[in-house]
Amino acid sequence: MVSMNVTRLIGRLLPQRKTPHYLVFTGGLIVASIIIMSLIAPLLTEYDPTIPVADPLLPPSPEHPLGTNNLGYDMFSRLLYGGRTVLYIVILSTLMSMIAGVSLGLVSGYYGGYKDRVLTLIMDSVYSFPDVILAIAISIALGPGIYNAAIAIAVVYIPTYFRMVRGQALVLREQGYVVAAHMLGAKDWWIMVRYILPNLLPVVVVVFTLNITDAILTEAALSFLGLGVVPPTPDWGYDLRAGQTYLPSGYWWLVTFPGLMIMVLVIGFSLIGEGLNDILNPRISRR
Amino acid sequence: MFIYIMISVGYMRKISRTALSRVAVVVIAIVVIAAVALSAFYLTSTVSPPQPKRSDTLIIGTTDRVTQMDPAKAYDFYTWEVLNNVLEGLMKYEPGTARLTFGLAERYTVSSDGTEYVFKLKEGLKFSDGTPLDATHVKYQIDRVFATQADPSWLVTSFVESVEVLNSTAIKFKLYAPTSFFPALLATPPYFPVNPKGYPLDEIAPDSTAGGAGPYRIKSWVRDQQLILEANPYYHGPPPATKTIVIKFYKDASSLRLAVERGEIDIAWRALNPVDLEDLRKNPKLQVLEVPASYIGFLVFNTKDPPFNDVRVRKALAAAIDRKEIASKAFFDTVIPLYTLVPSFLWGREESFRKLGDANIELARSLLREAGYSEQNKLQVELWYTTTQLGEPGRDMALVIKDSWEKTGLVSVSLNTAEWATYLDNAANGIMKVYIQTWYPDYLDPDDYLTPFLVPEANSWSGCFYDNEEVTNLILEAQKITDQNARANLYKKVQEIVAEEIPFVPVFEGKTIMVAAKGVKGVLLDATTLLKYLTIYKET
Amino acid sequence: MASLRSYIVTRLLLVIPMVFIVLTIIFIVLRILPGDPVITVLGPKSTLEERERLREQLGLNKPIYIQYVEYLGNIVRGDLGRSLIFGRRLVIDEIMDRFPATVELAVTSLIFGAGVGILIGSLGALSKRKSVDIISRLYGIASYSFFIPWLGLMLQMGLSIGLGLFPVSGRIDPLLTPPRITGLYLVDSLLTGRLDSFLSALWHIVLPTITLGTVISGIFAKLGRTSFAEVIVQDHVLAARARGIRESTVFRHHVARNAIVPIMTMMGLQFALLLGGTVLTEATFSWPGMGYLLFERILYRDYNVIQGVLIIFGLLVALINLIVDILYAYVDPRVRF
Repeated sequence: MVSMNVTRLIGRLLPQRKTPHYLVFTGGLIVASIIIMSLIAPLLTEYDPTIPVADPLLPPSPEHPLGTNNLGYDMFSRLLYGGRTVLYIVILSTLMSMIAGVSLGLVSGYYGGYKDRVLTLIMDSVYSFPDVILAIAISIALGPGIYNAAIAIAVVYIPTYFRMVRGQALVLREQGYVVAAHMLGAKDWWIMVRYILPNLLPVVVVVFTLNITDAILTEAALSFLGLGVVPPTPDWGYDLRAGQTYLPSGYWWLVTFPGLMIMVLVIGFSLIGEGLNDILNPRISRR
Repeated sequence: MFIYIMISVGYMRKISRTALSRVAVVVIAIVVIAAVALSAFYLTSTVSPPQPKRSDTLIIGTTDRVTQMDPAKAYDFYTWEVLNNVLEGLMKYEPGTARLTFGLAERYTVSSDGTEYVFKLKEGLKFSDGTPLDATHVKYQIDRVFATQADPSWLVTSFVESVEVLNSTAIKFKLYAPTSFFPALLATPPYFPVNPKGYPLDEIAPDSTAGGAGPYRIKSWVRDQQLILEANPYYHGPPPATKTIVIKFYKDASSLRLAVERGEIDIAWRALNPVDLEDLRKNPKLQVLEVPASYIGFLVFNTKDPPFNDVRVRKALAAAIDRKEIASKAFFDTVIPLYTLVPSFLWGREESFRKLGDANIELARSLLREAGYSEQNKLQVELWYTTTQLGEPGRDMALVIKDSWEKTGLVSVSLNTAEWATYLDNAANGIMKVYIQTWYPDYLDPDDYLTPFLVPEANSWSGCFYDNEEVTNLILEAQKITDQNARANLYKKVQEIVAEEIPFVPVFEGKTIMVAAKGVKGVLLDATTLLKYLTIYKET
Repeated sequence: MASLRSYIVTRLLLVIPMVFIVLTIIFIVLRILPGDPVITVLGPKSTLEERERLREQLGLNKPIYIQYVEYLGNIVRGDLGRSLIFGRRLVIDEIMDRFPATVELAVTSLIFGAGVGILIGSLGALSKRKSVDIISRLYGIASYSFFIPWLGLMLQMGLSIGLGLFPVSGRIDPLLTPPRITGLYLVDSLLTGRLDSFLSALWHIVLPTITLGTVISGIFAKLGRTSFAEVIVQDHVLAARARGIRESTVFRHHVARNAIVPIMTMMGLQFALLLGGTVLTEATFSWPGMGYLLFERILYRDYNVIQGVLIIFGLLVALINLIVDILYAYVDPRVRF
């Protein structure tokens, strides 16, 4: 049921007047606008997000649409540039865990044997552990910084890809055309890359979009707990944390917008993931 | 609230439609009666103005915590504060000052070689449960400290060789070496006698509430929730101003702030967010009390490795710093700019860093150019900070410093941070070429702000690798003489040299801040940061 | 029944290597931590000899494999060591102080989240109007997308600081702490008949519960929607309708009963998510549970406590997964192979 090639996959994704397609479209619109906003940030704001540009704690005004923080940083420019940081970390980390998870899952599922069992056991153990808590532990060990945060998040989500891919690979290696290729003397790696991997693509795409939402929330959690980026790098989770102290004094704009952006971005990816899941309909449960 | 208004508006409408006149009569009647009653009450009350009454209970809120209620084990500010209120030693500090005075002791004599102290106890001392306290109990606590060997035990074991009870009110301490500040050590909790009923000889009693002979005794204690103290009826001194002290332990600064605003507590004590203080100062129902505290904040340079082995670079960065900006933006004026390592409550100071100025970008620029830096070849600096001791203001301080250095146009700064253990490790190993640090003194003397910074070996924690024979000799000379003026002159000379060589840049000194309801009186704050409850009362 | 028993035995045997692996991962992650915990304890002013003595005392000077063996041995004996700071209390004491708070928050949030989620999900599945279904589905997506600290802060801003309806943080008014029986304030205050304590505890738990509950309710909404939608078209339901049984009876006896099985399972499977969520909720509301303990001690690199909390979290997850699997096998015979 998953032996579907890339052209058919794209065919299914073509615009149709069905709910799943609306979901994908809306989600895509949200994600695309956030990506574009962060990319063209220098056109939208004249301020540098990492230096003081005005008086501290100014409320929102035409000059500073989202106000300034206690050091006089422009919060609007921090919001725009913060998108860059978040997307960079999250895409980097999900790509890392995807590459590691898919290749390990493929090899493990294709060859089987005791190595497969040991690997599965390890992956299941990691998978069962609460993701945020594991990311915190790794992050403490690695120290702060963009790349360390990306690694911590990547490690946590390797099993998500591993489990999915391994299960599919177990099924696919028994398929006639794979067995046939094997008998014709094709090398193992060639079979994996040429015959099994393309069939995994729909699954991996859906897992990727759903996983990215978890990765965004975990990244925000690390920054919020002071384990992510180093200031003055703009980052939503960090700004939320920094603004928390100012909440009882009524500086509402410091916490409202960064958190809102996290939520909107997650919703965007969720909609895409949900829609794709419906369209491609492999039985995927998300973490 | 909204619902309430909606209901009452709706109710009134209903009434107006039915029987307005009858209701109006009743309402008017009630108003008249009430007015008469009120004015009568007002007249009688103005005849005899109410005397300010002292409340029996005072509620203090804090975000600190009691760790181990055992003077042989506790080694943190807040637990020491509580122990100072429920126990008393042979010596103590006079509230509101950093001056030593007699506690349970009446007088003492020192042997001519300075190694033997004989203390005479006051007569008729009692523990808070009424059992008599004599010299054997003082020895009992010293024995406990030796037997348990816990964290603060060095305050006893490094100095005291043996203790001998001469009679029921006389005790002799034999010391390893002459120690001129031994009476000050006796004012630290490890020396405070405790009630043997609650404190076994060779075991730490972390949850004991048996207390000792302080002005208060513990009525009840629920860890991290509440501590209720009541006046000790057997206390040898004047009775405390308030009978019952209730201490509420809050989980964070926001809750503490709201509690003091809503009048749920009388005193908010350690530690509110600096930004909250700004609001609380404006609150007409509250008073904000502040005194200089003993801790200081400063920058440390690794003077051995490039680029900071060049004194011009160090001087440039020291000149570019804007202390007022740091104090106002990062700390909301809960700290005071500091221009030498010795804080303002002490003597023997020389504000030698004043001549470099604040935000002196011109001087910084010329020094940096002299050292070979330019717009194309910027000085690359990695500035380290930690939030473990200063919290978020520590981070904001780093950001403000980064900004003022980059204003020279010749410096490019990146920030870095590490967890406390790593931070201390990195500091000692000189990995961090320039970093922010704070200092909490062990004893209140200029020496404790100079020796640990400038004397080689003693300053190995800092990773500044500073070693100047002249400075070392001046400091060691000052330790030997007792004349304060002569010492002050030596210290001033040291501070002059420090501002020339700049292994450290003093940035700020802390303040001890308390927010209290308007009626709270008799608060005596001092640089020890240990609050003495016995003088505090509240008028209602 | 024999197959069920053998399934349980296999499942139990599988728990052992899994727990072992989790413990090993925790050990590896925490031992590569940079920084010397000994300095944290003794402070920068300590001498080298003092540090060496403490290192020996803590067993940190031994080869890493011996430390590993001792680490496992200590856990088996239930010895998690002592905290490195705050008076060096036993880690197990620190955790037992905080554990009930986390349980209390997790349970109320689970009840709230499952209640709200299943209600919205089943409404979506059972309603004949398409708009209701879409709204219920969007709720599932949106609620899961909340960043817990942000939702918490928004609730604090509006309801605590703005309207003053609820406390901004903490677990109870410190003066109203009930005597400890179970450690669950809501239960203890009722057991001791302290209504004021109960109300104070209830007042404090509302916002954290809404925060965490809302975020996990999304999953229940999604699940409720699919499982009700599946059940409602099954033959026995259609048959019951065809027999003319009243709609409410059909719902109670045929729909709800069958839809609730996967939901119960989901409750167990979402436990890991719930635990992760408690860390963030507790950090936001200064809720004195295990997550807050972890958050607080990260700053001080109190690594025995960090390790202890992680171990307890790991064991909890393994235990809950085991129970859920066994229950599931009991309910649904197909898994016993």
